[in-house]
Amino acid sequence: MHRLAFITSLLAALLIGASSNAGTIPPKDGELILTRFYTRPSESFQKFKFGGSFRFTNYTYPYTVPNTDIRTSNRMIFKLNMDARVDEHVRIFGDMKIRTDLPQSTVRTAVIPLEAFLDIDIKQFNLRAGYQIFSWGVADIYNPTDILNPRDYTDIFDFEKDGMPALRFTYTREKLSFEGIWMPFPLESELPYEDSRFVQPFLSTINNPLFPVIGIPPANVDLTVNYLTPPMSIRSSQFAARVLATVGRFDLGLSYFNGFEKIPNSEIIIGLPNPQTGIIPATVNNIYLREHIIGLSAVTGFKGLNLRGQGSLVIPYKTTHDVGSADDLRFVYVLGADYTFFDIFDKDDFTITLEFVHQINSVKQKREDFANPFQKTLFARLQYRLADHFKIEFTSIYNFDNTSYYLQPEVMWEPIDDLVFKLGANLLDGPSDTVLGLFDKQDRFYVSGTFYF
Amino acid sequence: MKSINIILLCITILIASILISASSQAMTAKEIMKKYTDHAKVADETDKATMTLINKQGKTRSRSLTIMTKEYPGDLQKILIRFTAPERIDGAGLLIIENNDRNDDQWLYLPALKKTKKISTSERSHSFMGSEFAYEDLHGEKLKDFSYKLLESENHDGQDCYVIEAIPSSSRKLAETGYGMRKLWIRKDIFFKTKAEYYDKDNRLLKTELAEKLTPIGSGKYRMDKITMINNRTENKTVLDSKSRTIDSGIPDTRFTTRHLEQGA
Repeated sequence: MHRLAFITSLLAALLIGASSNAGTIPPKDGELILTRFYTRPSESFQKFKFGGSFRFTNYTYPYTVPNTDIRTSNRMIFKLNMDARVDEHVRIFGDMKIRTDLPQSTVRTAVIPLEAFLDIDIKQFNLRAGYQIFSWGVADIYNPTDILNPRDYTDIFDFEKDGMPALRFTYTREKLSFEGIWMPFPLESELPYEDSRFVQPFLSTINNPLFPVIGIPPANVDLTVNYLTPPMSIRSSQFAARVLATVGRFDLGLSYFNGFEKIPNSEIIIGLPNPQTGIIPATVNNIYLREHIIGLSAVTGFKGLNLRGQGSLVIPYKTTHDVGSADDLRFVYVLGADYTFFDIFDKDDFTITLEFVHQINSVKQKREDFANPFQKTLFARLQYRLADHFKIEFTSIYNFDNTSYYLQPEVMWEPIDDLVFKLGANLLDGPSDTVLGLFDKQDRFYVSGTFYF
Repeated sequence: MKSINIILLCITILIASILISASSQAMTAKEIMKKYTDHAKVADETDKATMTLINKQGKTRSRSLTIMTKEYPGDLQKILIRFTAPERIDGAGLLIIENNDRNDDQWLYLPALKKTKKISTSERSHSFMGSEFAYEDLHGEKLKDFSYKLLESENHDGQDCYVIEAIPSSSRKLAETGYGMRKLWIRKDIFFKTKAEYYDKDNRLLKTELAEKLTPIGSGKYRMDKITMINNRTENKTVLDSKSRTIDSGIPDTRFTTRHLEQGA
């Protein structure tokens, strides 16, 4: 909740400050945008707008799992955003979500800040301060350099980014931009609830169990789970920088990140059995490793075929914890392409997207885990869109290393503006010691309705 | 003596009128189109508009958008299109940078993903956001890309117009465009387009564009505040209504960058 208090007070302070400071700049005619949900607070703003959405989703699971007997659940997400442009140099933006889960008899609600920042533009310079969401990298489906924000993994199939407190500086020329980011303290991703379907029984063959509580430990194990999060101090601050340039037909990027992984690696310490009781003490230390990530990217297009390549070299800091091979050097690259066939029947189009992910490790036969999930994997997406109101999409992941796979068919329909229905499924399978195989009983079907206002 | 002066004045005016008329009649199609583009051209322009999509049954969907354009040397343009409504696509944007020697560069910003995507543009002919306008309709007239022929003079909407035929001047341009031929109605008095017909590559009528609400924007230049594009095959139509317009305001070059595109506002 301290994040919410911080974001609320930041927004309030910014709004009061902006409102009182901007009085000398009159709004231009026709530039004030008002919605029916809002009455104008001040003549000072060039633009002031509230918007948001409400989404209801029902999930149905065909299989039961050991951790819970929940077979159906509902999730509601209410999003609200505010956009205030004080003048041509200053903008204030806020975006938050309230998430309510109704698994069965219990109700869990969380308020999550997404963005709340002050933007200052002066010529080619931009300074943005506050909660921010970043989107780095050029790959469409799996993106190994898009690692600045924590994510909401309470639903493992729908992991939205959470905001990150940061100070961002950008300098832009016509075909060149430089971006520097400082994140004063780290935030880790939100993990599934203890009694969630997604919490798995302990599997010794998985390096990184991801989840806060191991499901049902063997009776003779006394399990202790610790979270060794980075301390909230200046020494834990993270930073990143990026240069983007357009050279001829190519968009090129070079990036650097120095910070923490957002999901933990696990160190498992198994003690000697108690001679009287026979109980084995076991400790799981969930550790957030610090690492350097150097990224490179290139995008180009040729006769409608979009091509992109992206690589990231991950150099973890040395750690005294035994987290298997997670602290070894690795290089992940993605090669992708997409092509769209336009106006097949009328105002429709069909897009094929393919992305191949390959990871090269400094340690041979590196095991798959949550930090290294897709070491030789093909991602594919087929999309058919009809006039932006109807879409059929099919996404698939196939891991060549272990034959695990994921399929997501989805139909989207927008009967009227700002009302969107979706019907789809998340289907996956694979050997039990793989990331996808670990969730093979989590197949589900979903139906959702979203109203935007 | 006074009556002689009046007669001389009348003769002078008559001769001048004949000369002016003769000179404009002698204009070639290319010269007319050059005058049309010169009259349309401004250094930069920001248009806030609504785009209403109306299907055959009369069902409507509406989009609000801002179109920002800036002229650059070599008859090149940079275009930024930003959607502001409906809420689902609020902040979505498209940045187009024209090139002389190759296809345009285009970037699409999707606010839901907070991501900018570079998109290759082999075709400009596909529909713009589900409307009856094609992407190529958003660009200014490129004289070097077309051969023009003066077909006739015709009265359209009470105004004398030249009717000009425009066909792609090269096989490359023909491959890029969705139109085999266009007919353009250019008003004789102000050299402004008031109607256009778009034909496919088999010379069948595809679409008709009608412009209304002529508005002066200064320096003898005009804009149409309402443009209707009718699909002659499906009977769907799209109406682009200009709500406000700013001309030659000195839009900074940084507006036409992916960084600005990502700011979403």
